[in-house]
Amino acid sequence: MSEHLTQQQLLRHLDGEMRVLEERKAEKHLRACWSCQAELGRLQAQIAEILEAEQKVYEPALPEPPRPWARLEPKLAQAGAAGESRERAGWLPKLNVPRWAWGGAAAAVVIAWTTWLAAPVALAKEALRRAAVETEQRQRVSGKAVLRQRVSVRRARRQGAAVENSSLSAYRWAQGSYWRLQDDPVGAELRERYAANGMGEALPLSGAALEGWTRLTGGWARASRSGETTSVEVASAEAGLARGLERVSIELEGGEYRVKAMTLSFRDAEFRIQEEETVEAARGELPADVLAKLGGEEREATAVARQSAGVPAPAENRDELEMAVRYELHGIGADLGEGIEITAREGEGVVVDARQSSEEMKARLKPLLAERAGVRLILEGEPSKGNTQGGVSRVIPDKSTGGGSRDRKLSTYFGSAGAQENFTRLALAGSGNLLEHAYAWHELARRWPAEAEKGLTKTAQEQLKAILRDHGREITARVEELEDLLHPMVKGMDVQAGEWQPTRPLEPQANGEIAVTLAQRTDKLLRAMLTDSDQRVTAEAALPEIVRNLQELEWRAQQLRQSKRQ
Amino acid sequence: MEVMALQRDRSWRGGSVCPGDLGAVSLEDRVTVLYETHREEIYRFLVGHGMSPGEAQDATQDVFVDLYTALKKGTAVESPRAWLYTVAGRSAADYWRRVKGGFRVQLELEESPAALMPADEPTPEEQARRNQRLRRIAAGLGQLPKEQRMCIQLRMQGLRYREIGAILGAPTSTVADWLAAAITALREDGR
Repeated sequence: MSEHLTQQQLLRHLDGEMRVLEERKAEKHLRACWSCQAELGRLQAQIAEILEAEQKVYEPALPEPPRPWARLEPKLAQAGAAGESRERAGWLPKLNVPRWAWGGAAAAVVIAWTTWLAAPVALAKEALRRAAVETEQRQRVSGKAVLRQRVSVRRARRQGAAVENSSLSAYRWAQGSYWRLQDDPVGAELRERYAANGMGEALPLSGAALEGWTRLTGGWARASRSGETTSVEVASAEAGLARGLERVSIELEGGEYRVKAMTLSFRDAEFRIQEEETVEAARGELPADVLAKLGGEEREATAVARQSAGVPAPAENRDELEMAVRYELHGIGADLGEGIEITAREGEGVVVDARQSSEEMKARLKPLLAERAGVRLILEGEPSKGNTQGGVSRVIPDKSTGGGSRDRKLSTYFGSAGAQENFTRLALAGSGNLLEHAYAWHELARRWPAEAEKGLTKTAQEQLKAILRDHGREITARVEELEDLLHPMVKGMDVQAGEWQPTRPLEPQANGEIAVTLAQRTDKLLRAMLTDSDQRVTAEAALPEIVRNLQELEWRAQQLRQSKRQ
Repeated sequence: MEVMALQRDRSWRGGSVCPGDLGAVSLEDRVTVLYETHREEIYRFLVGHGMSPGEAQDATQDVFVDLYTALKKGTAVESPRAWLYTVAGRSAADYWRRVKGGFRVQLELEESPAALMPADEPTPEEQARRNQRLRRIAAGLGQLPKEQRMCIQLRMQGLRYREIGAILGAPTSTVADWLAAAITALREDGR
């Protein structure tokens, strides 16, 4: 690190918030740079002054409580009487941290953060997932049925113009959908934003829209509950902000997880979409423009169905259809650890082999693909051999223990079996998730090498980029979590972790192959280090390579995100 | 189930009351002791984040009731103070969403006891200058954007960036940016 440290870096260094590599580089730079040492001293002095100002001036200057403090006991008694049913806030932090010996203190802090954060995030994620599934099920259309959704839309520009209200109807049938805009500028702008972000086929308030928008934010979800309404809010991380999306807020009704309203906050405007009704519309009542659109698509669908039954679809259409299917499956997380194999076969169209999937995933795939023209969904039967994610399997050599004796340094570090067990669970869960994203990246890279990617249509290329960006972002997030988890261990055990030096940038396809190897290797090393596997490796032997692998993975995921943004 | 891992709270301020030493008293009593010890600071935190004094006083009680409910359910709480600030932070963030728009904290700086600070500066002039600087920083704290002020105040309570990020619905890197921006702004104010 030749350049001076920024204020933010100095602050993170002081707060112990840097990751392993960055911390080492910062320390090295600080040892060599008087200028940064002086700046660090100034920052510490500044923090001390802020603390003093807060305690001696700011706090005493705040208004006193207006009335004497009421006793708490009556409220506690009331809360106690409400008993187990009381769940005032779905986001209550939950800390399930076991009592550890002092030796595990550093790891305890890390695990405490993770456990603390996991509860609200998991709750919000679960609420979103259920809302998406249940909304999708409610809005399922088959045969010749047509669903009509009427929503009110309120657009508020961030600057200048007043709030504008509008009402629009959108229709959905088995083969497609249609937003009836009728020269409505608010609805037209909203429709454009849906289409530009890959949700052109979704109803304004639908499971696909819900998943699509929240996925785009790339941020953390948090849920809160007030009366019968559950609110889930997702603030955008880097990826969402890059698209101008700052936040998505969703209001769900009661225990049914019915979406009442969704607010999309963009950098320049905010749209609040509220459901007025979603009903099945009789064909006789459909407006002429909807009927015209419906008729055209049905004719098209019949032609495609005939094609898929007999004449194969042209190759370029197959690719586009395959990518559209992959994009949709990615939208519901079906490309992660579900063992779904997607192939475009001549004469068969796009084949989605989901025989190895969980029952829950099969239930989600059915309404999405079962009646899709040109797509053959396989849910039952003996899975074909070779339909596995993974493939590459390497054996970790037993470098040090020579036959299963426990790593004493590691045991001392954790202090108790419970602490080690918790840590192991978190580390392997993170690593497993990292591996799933790496496999998904690799799978796409294998399916569409750089040359083949150029042959895709513009829409398909955009979809491919969006999927890859998502995996890149998730890999970065998982790597950061693992590094944070391992950081105290590397420090506490005084392990000398090596530094990975960036190489020249590669195509995303080549990076994908390397990423999956690195993720596999990291997972195996973690297992060898933390579990009672036959091939144990000491922490001292495993950690340097794990840290290097994570650094490299992070760099490659960053390359992926950057290269695909161009 | 009364599980309360309070004795492991290493961040206890001032050592006025350590619930870990309370022995075999009821959960209600323990939370009441926490309430009596920490209600003023939680109240000030909430007032400092835009709530009116009356609302802040009610919300303060709710924060302790939430703690009681969680403990009654068997949740083991690593650090009650961090827990209280986390819930208070969320309560303030929810309040922002309900009320919308920005706000500035009204401070009664003229009556503040800055002039009564211990005289550890070598000369009265330097002491006066220092007091003046602290007042400017305090005023600056009240003028910070709400997210930055919350980051600073939660960090003061020992919360990690990730914990703060979870409260504000922001990634860790944004929390780091907000903290750095707040410190830079307060440095300017102090000059």
